[in-house]
Amino acid sequence: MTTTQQGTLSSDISHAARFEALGCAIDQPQAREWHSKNQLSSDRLTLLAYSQDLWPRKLLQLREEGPLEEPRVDLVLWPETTAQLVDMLTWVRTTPAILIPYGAGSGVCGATIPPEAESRPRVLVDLKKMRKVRRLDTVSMTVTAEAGWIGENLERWLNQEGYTLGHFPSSIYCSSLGGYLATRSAGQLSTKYGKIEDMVLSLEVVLADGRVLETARAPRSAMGADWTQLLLGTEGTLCFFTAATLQIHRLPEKRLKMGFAAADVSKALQFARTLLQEGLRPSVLRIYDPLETSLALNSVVLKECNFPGGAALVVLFEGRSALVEAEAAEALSVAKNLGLTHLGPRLGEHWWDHRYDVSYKQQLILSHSRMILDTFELACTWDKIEEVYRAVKDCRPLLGLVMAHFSHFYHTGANIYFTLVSHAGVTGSSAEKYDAIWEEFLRAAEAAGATLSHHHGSGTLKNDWIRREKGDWISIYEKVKHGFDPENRLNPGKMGLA
Amino acid sequence: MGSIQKIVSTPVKWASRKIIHQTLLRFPGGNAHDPIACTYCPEMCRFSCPTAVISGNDAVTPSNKMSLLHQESRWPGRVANGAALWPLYDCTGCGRCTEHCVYGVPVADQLFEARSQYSLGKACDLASGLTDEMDPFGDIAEELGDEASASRRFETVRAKARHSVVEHPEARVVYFLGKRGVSAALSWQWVFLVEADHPVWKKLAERLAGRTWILYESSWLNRRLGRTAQTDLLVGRFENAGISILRAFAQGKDCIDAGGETPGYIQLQPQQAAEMAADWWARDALRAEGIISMSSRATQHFRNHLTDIEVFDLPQFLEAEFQQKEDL
Repeated sequence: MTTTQQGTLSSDISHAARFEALGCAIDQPQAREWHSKNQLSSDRLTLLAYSQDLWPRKLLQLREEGPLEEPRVDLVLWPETTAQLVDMLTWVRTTPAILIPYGAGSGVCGATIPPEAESRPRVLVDLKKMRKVRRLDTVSMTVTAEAGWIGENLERWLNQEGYTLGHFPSSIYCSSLGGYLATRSAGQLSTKYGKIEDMVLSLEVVLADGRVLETARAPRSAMGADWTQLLLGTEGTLCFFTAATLQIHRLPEKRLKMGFAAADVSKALQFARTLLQEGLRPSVLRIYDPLETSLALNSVVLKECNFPGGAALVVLFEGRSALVEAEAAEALSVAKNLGLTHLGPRLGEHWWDHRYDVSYKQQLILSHSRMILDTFELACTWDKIEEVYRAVKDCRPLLGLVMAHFSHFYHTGANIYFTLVSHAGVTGSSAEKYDAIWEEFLRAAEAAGATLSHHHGSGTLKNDWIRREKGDWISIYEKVKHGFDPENRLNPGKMGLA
Repeated sequence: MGSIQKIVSTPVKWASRKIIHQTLLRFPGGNAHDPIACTYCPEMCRFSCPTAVISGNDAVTPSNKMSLLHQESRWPGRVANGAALWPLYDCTGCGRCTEHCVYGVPVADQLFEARSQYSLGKACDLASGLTDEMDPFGDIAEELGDEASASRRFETVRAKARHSVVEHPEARVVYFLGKRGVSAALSWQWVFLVEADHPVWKKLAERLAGRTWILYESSWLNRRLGRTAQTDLLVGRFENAGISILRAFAQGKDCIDAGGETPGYIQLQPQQAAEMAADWWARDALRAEGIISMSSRATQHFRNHLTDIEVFDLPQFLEAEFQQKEDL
């Protein structure tokens, strides 16, 4: 035992009832060996660290009610290989425990928080020690990487070899490959490289009964259903993701950055739709509505660009030089035809240099008592996009504001990313106010025809709403879940399930 | 009409922006160094922390360590519940968390200070087991609270340093012995400063040219002693001598500390330190052919764990070179 793992297996457990339900399993030689190798812990501070993710509601509660008295999980396991995970699952199946797959804890919807009503012991399985690259295939342009890689570290490893994954979520410093797979994550360059589900060739998964399966062996197949796409985004309710084979790209020869100004959101969306439907694939295309432009973008940079007001756009093209230049010329032509103002490269360059900052500045606001902050990312088809945008913007919470940008684009539609900043008022609980605001947001977006998550997932936050959006599919999903996990051990109470 | 709107709205926008920046976009109280800054943070530092990456344990992310400090301060006893705040000690002191913090929170320094406030019972036992060889400068003993050993080792270093300066008052090439000994004993006059036309560069070129190297220097020491500019100068001199430096791991931001120049991490956590070295080499070394190390402790560590990689001990080379010639 090292200095980092204080206490013994049972001396510092304050949630005795659940822990005792693990019974004699905890004293088995195998469990003791894992403990001695820092692969198993019941240490109180460790359990508390794993008792919440970055769901803002939990951060509000921490701010106003203080740290949890009792951890929300009872044991943490850190498998280092797929074989060891299988051994651990076999061991856990000798107990009544539930299993919560865990990546880096940067989810914002509470997907790793077990339901309060859950009475079984809660065993959390952190996959971050599984971080090997198993294979780099430079002929097929794939990398097979284990699920525990932190995004930034995997990207740096690939860069050393001259490649990029092309997946740059703003959480890249604090999120894992497994988490990307579990939530159908999107990166800032998704318009060119796709969301994570567009990058996956095959998954290695471990089922609740310990079976290890791979989902595919070729980019496309007509040999039955696509298991990869069924499993992606299921937030640990059907299986553990232990590794994935992902498509990679050569590092771009050229990256060209541009900025534009549009009179309003409508004109900016018309520009984006034209680019996408004419076959252009900018790596980055971002439209900031006028409020977010004035509050979130750097005013000095806007002034340097002679920004005339309205909605600001950031556009990047990257890849082979000749293609980049051709696409940029085409984009300039479309912009001119639609009456957009070209702002030169400065805005795009500034955005690129600060592309991750905004997510990490939200805590400035959350650290003020009674302040509420959250983000809401949805998607819809082009025909509904302005209606959805207006519906959510019109929610306008008392003592708050809603700003928006559009950042992931497709041939048939786009994502809208709303940011809410509000004050909870002087009375009542901030968490309750938070719930009320979300209720209003979700109702407005649902009525306008959007899907209620584009890349954050559903977690605990939207567990009731996924039932509404998916309707009858939920009863079918219950049967699927039963087929994969008949004892309902894997992350229960998520994906609209009870 | 439009111009009237602009006349009215411009000062309103300006005032609103000012108010927001003075209130919401500052931490409560305005102190960005308060651990509250880390408590609600999504942990931009997480990927950079060698102990967090290698252990995989979320309790040892820099952000969680700082959050523990905040929570213990605001709700005394609630999180610790009588136990030691052990995550504070699972830290190599590499300083990358500070380098990557978007708010400029000096996380590494605060954790360094906090370790003296929140003792770890086991630390004293560890300190008493350290030998002079394991802790030549007293750094580890000091951090673990063993003042007697720390002072004794410090005096040894101080004596050695003074002796060197007295013996070689005209010295222009010197190297550091350890942050405690050098900074306290000599107010840090010892810096790497080799003149560009010094014959030593020819010797170094004969030894090192033709291959690609990375330069390793402790980010912790570098940051605390403000030596960034000197390292840049040194890289320039290497390049002028025809020695190819792919990357200098000296400023914290772009390197992962391998547990090499930290207060005793190699000794206290040998397996984790070994994994850190391998992880750092695989991910950050730009496929260099060898390491020029400016840290004797890191050199020893790399040689133990990166067996196929040549590690060139620059201080040792310079020491041998100048002692031999007696022409400092």
